[in-house]
Parts: sequence; structure tokens; C-alpha cells
Amino acid sequence: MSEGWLGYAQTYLWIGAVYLIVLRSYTYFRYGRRENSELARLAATLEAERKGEQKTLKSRLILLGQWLVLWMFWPVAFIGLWEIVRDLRGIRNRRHGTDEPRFACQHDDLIEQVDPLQAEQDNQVFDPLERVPQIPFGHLHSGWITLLSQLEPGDTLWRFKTPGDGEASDEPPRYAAGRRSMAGYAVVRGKKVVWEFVTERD
Amino acid sequence: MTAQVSERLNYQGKKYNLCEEPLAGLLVYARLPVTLSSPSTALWRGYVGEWTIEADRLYLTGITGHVRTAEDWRTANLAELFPGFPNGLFAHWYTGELRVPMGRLLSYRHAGFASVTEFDLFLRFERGVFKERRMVTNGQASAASPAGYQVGAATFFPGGRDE
Repeated sequence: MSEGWLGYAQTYLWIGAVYLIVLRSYTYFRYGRRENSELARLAATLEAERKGEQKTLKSRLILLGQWLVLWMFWPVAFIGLWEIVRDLRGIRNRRHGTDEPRFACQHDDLIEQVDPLQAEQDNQVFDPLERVPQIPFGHLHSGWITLLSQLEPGDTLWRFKTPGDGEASDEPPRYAAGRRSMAGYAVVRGKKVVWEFVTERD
Repeated sequence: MTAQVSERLNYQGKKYNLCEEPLAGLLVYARLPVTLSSPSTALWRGYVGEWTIEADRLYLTGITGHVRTAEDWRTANLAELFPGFPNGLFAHWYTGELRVPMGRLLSYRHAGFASVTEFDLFLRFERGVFKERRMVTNGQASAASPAGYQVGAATFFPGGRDE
């Protein structure tokens, strides 16, 4: 029985050792001395303690202690692995140029396909005090013109409304409903929203 | 973020603080003739709007916009920022609840409009048209508590003033 547990412990420590070596190697080659992430700062701290003025017995023992603790509890250091994954995804995105504009409107927020002329008719703004230009979408007209300029053959125009933040809060300020909901029109190309024009905003 | 200077609201003949930024929805699309800048950490948006409810509608009836010049700062008013509408703009882009803090300060939070006062008056609008109001009681402050919404501290940029 005890031999079985010893075997598990050995396996655990071997995996931890390999994992920490990979993690340490990655931070060394990826970041060097730059301090642009939590992981890099950790690496830099360990590096500074390793090299620094420090070459005292105390600092060496502290460093050794830190690595031992990390080794014993290496699953906790999975946060480092998560950062590596995020980092690699970021690299891939940059390589593939996927820094596309992000819109409040998601595909699920689309309500109905509309005709641009109908949308203009539906958005003539009436104001008894005449403090709005008498053109479609009033003060927001330039946003509508920009949206129309984005339309390409085959695109469709949709009315949308986003759900916002969800439920109302129990804590002050007690708004009646979730906030930051938006409504407006979106240009859809294929199944993808490629432009939006927000006509109502909370 | 530092606590932010509130907007102003004229409602039923009285002036109130308004803890919302209804103008944000317009500024996404409006091309202002000048660029507004933040004069302090308490006014990142660079302006203080004055809002009025008339004929059951929400109007922007005044604004103090902060403009950084080569040597100093100056302010820009409604006529300069929105030429053609010197008497105000109908806020037809706004749908939602405006929060008007009232009473004494219950808890000060040095972030955004997060401070809590004894009461909140909520005014709901749809496309700029007033729909309903409701008053919410948040609690009772001690008699020593300061009155109303306020900003406790801010860092001013060289030459900058909130209003």
C-alpha cells in the first residue's frame, strides 16, 4: 500500500519537475529580461535573486525554497501555463491579422432583416421644439451614412438589440434593469457582423 | 478611476446632479469642431453637460467642454460644439434610466459615479422621450454626512479646471 503511494508521489514529482523546467525555459526564451507580464515579473524576480548582489547564502536558500515550494505544489503554477496559452494565442492572432473591429452586436442579437429605405422612414425623429435635424436618425445621421458606405453587394442589413449587463443589481444604484443595452442596425456579410450603427444606447 | 464630476440636470425648476453620461451615445458619431480634453482625473470625458427635461423630452441645453490650446485651456459652449443647435439638442439616442442622486451621502466611493446617496431618483426615457420616474431609498445617512453627490479628490493636469 505504502509502496503504491510512494509510486504516486514519485510520478507527481517527476511531472512537476518536467513542468517547471518547461515553464522556466519558456519564460527565459520568450521574455528574457522584459517585464511585461506577471509571469515575466516572476521570472525576473527569480533571476534577480539568482544573480544579484545577493549571492549570499540567504538569498540562495530563499530561491531554493521558492523552487521547492513550486515543485511540491506545481499544480498551483498552472496559472503560468494558462498565461503561456494566452500568450501563444495572442502571437497567433497577431500573425494572422485577426485584430478585427469588435462590435457590441453579436449574431444572436440580430432581430430582423430590414430594408435601408424602410429604416430611414422608421427613424425620422420628431421633436416639437425642433432641436433635431429633419433627416433620418437626426443627430446620428453621420453614423447612418457611414453604415451605408460599408454595404457591399450581398450584404444584408439587420436591426439588432444587445441584452446589456443582464439582471438589475440588488446593491445601489438600483437600476430597474441591466444596463449598457444597445440597439441599432448591423451590416451582415455571410453570417458575420461587419459593421454596426447604434441608434439607442443606455 | 477617480470619482467623476456629475452632469447637471434641470428638472421641474430645480438643478440636480446627474450621474450618467447621456452624451456618450452621440459623441460616437458626432464630429465636434474641436477636440475635448480631460482637465483632471475627475473629468476624463472632458466636458460637463447640462440637461433639461422639457415637453417630456430630454435635451442637452448646455455644455462646458474643455479644450487644450497651445498655451493654456479654454472652454467651449454648446453653440461652438454643436453649431446650428444653440438652444439644445434632443437626446433621441438615449434609452434607459438616468440616475439623479439625492439626499446626504451614504457612502463615498472614489470611482466613477459609484458613491451612494440616501435616495436615487430614476428617470426612464425611450429614445429621449420621458416614460416614468421612480424613487429608490438606499438608506439613512448620519446628520453629519455631507449633502449630495460630490467628488472627494482629483489630480488636475497643468492649467486644467473641472468647470
